Amino acid sequence: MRIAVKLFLSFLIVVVVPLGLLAVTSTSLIDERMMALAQEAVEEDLKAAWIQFFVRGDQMKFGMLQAAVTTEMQTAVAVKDKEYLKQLMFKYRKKRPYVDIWAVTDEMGDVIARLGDSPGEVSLKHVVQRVLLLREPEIKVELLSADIIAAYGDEVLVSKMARLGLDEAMALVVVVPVFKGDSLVGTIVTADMLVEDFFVVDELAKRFPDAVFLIAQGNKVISTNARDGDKRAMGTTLPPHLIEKISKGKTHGMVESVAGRQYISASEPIKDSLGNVIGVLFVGVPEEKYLALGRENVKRISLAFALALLAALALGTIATKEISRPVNALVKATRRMKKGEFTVLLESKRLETKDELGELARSFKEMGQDLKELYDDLEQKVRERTEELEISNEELKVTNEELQVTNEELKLTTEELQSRERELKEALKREKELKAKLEEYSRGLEDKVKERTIELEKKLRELSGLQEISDLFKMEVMPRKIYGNAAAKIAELMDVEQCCIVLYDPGKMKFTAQSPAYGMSVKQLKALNFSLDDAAFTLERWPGSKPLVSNEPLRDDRLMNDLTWRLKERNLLLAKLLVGGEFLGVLRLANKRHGDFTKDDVRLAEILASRLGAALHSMILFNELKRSHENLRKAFKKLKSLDELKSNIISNVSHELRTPITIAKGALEVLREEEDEGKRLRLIDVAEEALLRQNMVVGDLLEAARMEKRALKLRPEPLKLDEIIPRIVDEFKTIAHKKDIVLDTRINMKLPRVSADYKEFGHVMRNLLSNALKFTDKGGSVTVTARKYKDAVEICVKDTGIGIAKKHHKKIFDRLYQVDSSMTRRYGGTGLGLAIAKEIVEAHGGKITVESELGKGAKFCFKLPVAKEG
Amino acid sequence: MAMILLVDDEPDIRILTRMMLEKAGHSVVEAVNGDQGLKMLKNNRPDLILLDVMMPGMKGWKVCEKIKADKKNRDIPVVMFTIRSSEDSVKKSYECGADAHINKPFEIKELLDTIERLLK
Repeated sequence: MRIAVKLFLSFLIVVVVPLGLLAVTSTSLIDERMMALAQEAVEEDLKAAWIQFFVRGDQMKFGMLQAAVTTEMQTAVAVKDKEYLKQLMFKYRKKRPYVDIWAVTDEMGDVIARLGDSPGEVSLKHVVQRVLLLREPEIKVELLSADIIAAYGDEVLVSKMARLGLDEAMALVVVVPVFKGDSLVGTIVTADMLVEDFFVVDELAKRFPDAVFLIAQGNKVISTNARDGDKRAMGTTLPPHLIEKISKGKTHGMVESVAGRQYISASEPIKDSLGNVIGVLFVGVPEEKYLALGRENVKRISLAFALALLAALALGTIATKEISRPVNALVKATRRMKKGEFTVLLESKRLETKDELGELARSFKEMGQDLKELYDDLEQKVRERTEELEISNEELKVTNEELQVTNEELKLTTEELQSRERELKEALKREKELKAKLEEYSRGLEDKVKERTIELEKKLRELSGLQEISDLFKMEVMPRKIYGNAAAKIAELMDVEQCCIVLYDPGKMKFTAQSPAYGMSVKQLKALNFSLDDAAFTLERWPGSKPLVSNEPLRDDRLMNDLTWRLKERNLLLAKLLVGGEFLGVLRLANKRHGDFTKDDVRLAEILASRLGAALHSMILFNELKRSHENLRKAFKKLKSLDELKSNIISNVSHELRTPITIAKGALEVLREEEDEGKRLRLIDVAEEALLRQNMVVGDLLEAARMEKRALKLRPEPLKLDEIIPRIVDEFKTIAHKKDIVLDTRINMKLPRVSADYKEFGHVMRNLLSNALKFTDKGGSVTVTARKYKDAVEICVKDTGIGIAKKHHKKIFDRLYQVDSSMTRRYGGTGLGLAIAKEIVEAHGGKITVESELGKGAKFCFKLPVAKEG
Repeated sequence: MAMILLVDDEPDIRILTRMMLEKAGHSVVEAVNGDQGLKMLKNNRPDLILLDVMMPGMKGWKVCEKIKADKKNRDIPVVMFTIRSSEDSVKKSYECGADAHINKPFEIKELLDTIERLLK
């Protein structure tokens, strides 16, 4: 088949067949769709019909409820006021003229009042029963009997029923309860008759103009908008198959004939309050309308299909031509190329298209050219190659001969190579040997470097050790710490087991090993303390400044007198501590187990000793300086306080001397002018007392001077205190009397005699009494007691005066260290009195004490030894 | 005449000085030490103060300094009345603000003349 035909057929299959199928399917789909649409519409209409139906019911219920809640209605029902109820019902009917039946019942269901004049009473109990029970409003569709219609309705209704041949009439019934307070008093009953009531169907028809609505009682149509000619299609009957279907429930999609027209319908049974099917609500949409719609659609689709087909055919033809033309041209061209006309395509214009075929044609053109060139080239090459081959054949013959010669040469070369290999092996062996030697040498070198490094590190340690030793002295001035730290450091540097510093004291000419040392007990150190005499032997045989090294100390005659041998060291190194030629002592290093000292050790020890010597020298000088500075400071302080003391004593003494003079002088001066006898006598007393005081001060001073010269010479004699004390106390009676102080003496009559200097004893007593009186205020008391106490007699002077603070108890007896002049003023004239008393008592071998507190009086006691009998 | 505050720790000196001053027509208030003297000044205003130096506790010079540091009392003449007769002591008396310095032992006339001079 030609390619054009093939293309055209495939085009038809691809385009026309699906298009046809689509057209067929869509027509059947359209039918189905139209039906579904009609059903949907009819369902919608049915729903709307029900709603419309019950909208009427709700309107009625709402109206009744409004009536039922009014007080007038409630009261009228409660009192069963028939006439008033009638009036009310009239009023309400005016608002709702479509309501056909109005009645009011009591709580038992008996009718109280009604509209309508027909005679006879028909019970409505079965209508209101449920409302009376449930006490809630009710909307329902009921079949009302002709009796009821006749009794409550009007003649029009009755005649309508008669026209349609009905015994009962379908009505929309609304019953609402009426309450008075909480109690049910009755009901209002209203009913809208549905027979020939076109309100519902007409309302629906307005909204759905194409649709027909039928309300049937039983199978009889009682209301419809369907028209038969210009009349409503009333009184017609629904076909039996429909009635049968509806009795089972809802129907839809059935095609029914109403008034000569076909309708797609939906219908639903109308049930009364007991659930009985009493009628049918039927809705239909005209079938022809939907069929027409469907037919229209099918027509359009067919037309579209035909147009599409035509277009496809036209396009198919053009496309086929477009494709097949260059192909045919190409086919022709290739046929000619086959015959060797390689350039034929170059002339064809038909093939200059821009699609794949054009490309193919171009390729063909190029191929044609290439083929032509190739063909020409090949012919040329075949000619050349033939010539070459002829030449090569000649050459090959020559080469074969040459090869034979070369083979001989190769044999020779192989032998040479073998000998070369042997030589190489030998060379490798030699190289290995050399490498080993080199490694050995390198190791030796490394060892040397290591040794040198160790040596250098040691030097470094030594140097830093030296620095540390010097630093020790810089930071520390406590000799003990320095000796200990220095010995330990030197021992570490020298790597010895024992190290100690032995210092030489040129004053005592003795050697003393300083503690703490390193690696030596205190006992061992003590063994190293010896005098110069003992060490002289060693020093004599050890001149110069070099250290003395003995690796066999026990047999070393240089050390004969050194006590070293007792310590049994294995070796010993002594280095002199010298500073500017002055010999300070010895640095002593020793080992019990280690090896001998080396030259390096000796050199290092010498350096260490020289450093240590210098540092020790500085330290000794520093400490000496510090000590003498401290001593000087103390001495200076003492001198200063002594100086102050001296000025104080002078000042006090001058005060004490001048005060009595002032008093005596003043008294005498006043006396001269005074005429009153009493006052004159008193002034004389004052003057006398002042002179006595003066006398005592002078006595104190002489006594003190005497004592200063260590001239206190006691002439002890047995004294009868019971006689002497009262006599002394009597001397103070005047003063006591003047100050209104009770002066009391209590002496044990059996008191033994004491051994004491009479004059000195008096001095002590007077001093104590004078003080006691001086510091006791008016109205106080001073008591003198004496009693035996072991081998002594204790004499006490107690007063009730101002007392002495505890901190001053020691000072008041101290002649030299009384510094506070105001205290002196308070406690004893010159400040010498108590000090003198103390010295006197102590010279007798006794003791003077004070018991006192500030403000609580004072009690001075002293003891004197009992005189030995005979 | 004048009211004089006498501060001295020696009872006999107080007795004698009082006799002398009363004879000259002055009235005398006594204090036995510096503290007591200063306390008395709080409630009394004497015309002149006679102040001993060597007293237990506060020295006379210190008492004088305190009197002169008090605005209320600084115009009361203070007479230092002491056994300390050295030049140094006299200097100290004037340094502390005292108006006169009388050495003990003293003449009645000297004392009375000084008081009279200061009271004018």
